[in-house]
Amino acid sequence: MKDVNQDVTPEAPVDDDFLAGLERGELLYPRCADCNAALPFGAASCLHCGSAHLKWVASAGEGSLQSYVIYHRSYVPGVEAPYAVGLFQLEEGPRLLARLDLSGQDRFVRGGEFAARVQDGQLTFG
Amino acid sequence: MASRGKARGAIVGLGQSALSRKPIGTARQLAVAAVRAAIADSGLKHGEIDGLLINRSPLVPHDVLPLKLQDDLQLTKLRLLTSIEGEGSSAVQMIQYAALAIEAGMATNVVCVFSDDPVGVATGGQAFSPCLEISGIPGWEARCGLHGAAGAYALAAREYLWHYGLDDDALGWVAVSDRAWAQRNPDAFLHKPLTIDDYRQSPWVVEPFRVLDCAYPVNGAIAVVVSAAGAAANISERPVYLYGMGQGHRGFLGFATPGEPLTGAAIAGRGAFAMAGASPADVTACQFYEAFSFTTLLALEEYGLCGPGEAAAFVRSGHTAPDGRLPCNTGGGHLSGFYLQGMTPVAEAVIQARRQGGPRQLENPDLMLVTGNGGRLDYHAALLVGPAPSIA
Ligand SMILES: [Zn+2]
Repeated sequence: MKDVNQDVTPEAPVDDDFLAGLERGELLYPRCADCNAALPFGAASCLHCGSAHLKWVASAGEGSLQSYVIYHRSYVPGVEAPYAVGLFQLEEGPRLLARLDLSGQDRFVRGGEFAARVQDGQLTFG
Repeated sequence: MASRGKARGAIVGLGQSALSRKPIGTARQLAVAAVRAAIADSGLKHGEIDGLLINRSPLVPHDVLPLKLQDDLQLTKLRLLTSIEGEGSSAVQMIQYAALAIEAGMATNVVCVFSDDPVGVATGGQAFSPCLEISGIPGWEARCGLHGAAGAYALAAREYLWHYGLDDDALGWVAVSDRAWAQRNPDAFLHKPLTIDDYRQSPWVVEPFRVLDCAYPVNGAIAVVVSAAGAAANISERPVYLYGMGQGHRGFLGFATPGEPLTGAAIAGRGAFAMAGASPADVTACQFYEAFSFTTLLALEEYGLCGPGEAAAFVRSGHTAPDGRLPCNTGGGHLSGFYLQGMTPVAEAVIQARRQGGPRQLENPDLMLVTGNGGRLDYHAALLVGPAPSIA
């Protein structure tokens, strides 16, 4: 049986890897390095096998809309209201919060398919 | 199994500071006023208080309401003192820990206080803008622009509305029900009659939430004194007994795993009902933590008072409003009464159990569910309370 207490420190802070990926134009999500299960963002150990060895892999960038909200007042410098934030289920499994492009849309439906766009370190589904 | 409805403790005093939309003092000063009022209300002597539990808003730093509150109050013989870290579930948690400590012999009379002064000279965005962590990626909410508790709760609300195929009016009927109660409560802050049409005209905050879906913050403090159930009748003319207590902490993971509880509220409810030897069908009224309208719908379902997806129709039919079959948020709740976090529902339950509700007094306050909810649906605590030493 595996000693789940060995090496419980992730090799690098998860947010750094995720954000560094965006800077390179890549959308990454976490998987277990031992059993390969896709893991929720923020997991520090594997839900399935308990391993603390996680890895970041590239997502195909396809997500289905689980929920969204529209801000009618802007809290983001340089972004005009209204703007939308969505919760997407990546095709690989994990749920990811991201900006949702409002342009050309007046109605969203549950499960709507969206594609990730990564530009200048910013992630938007549209 | 515990005998049905045997009380595990009692609330023997309730006190509050002034409540206001204007600055009326620091949270620390208001806390002193509320504690003094609660002790006076209990009839206990100052020196008979040997426990102090403190609940500050999760939005303020620790030193706003420090343990030094003890010195302000000159409570010099404490055997129990701590600050509770359950965010919106803290007020209910304080009462639970007080009752447990008393049962264990660690204290005799414990005062529990919440205090906050969120409404400043320039009101509005200040208390609104901090992000709640829900993405799992530190700092990501701010980069996405998901600001405020309202944004995080609105995201859960939209998922809920979609899951059950409900329209946005489902939220509005909660606001209408709360307002109907507030009209009968002179201490509520919003009294104007409210129809569903008025609700639809209310400005958006974060769609699907309008202004009227959001709690109405005030400055103020509320405190209660908790004592042993067996001693309560000798202290207070109208003690409020605690039959059941539970907590549940789980986060909101969406609807991906059918059959699992959606949030920790379901776990908290099971614990409280098991301790009380009661079931949801026995509940005569509810005082929910409802910082946003949506949380009342979810709580009705999570605590087993309505089936999954049925709360909206239940509220729309008037069952939670005055003369309804399950009165909820009977002082106007967080939306139309006032928002002092977990102490708003606690105080209303005490008032109802003591039959001090005036025009809003319930005929049957015999078994009330009182809830706390913190984080983004992360942290839950529940009490079952009533006016008799055991459930009628
Ligand atoms: Zn694994």
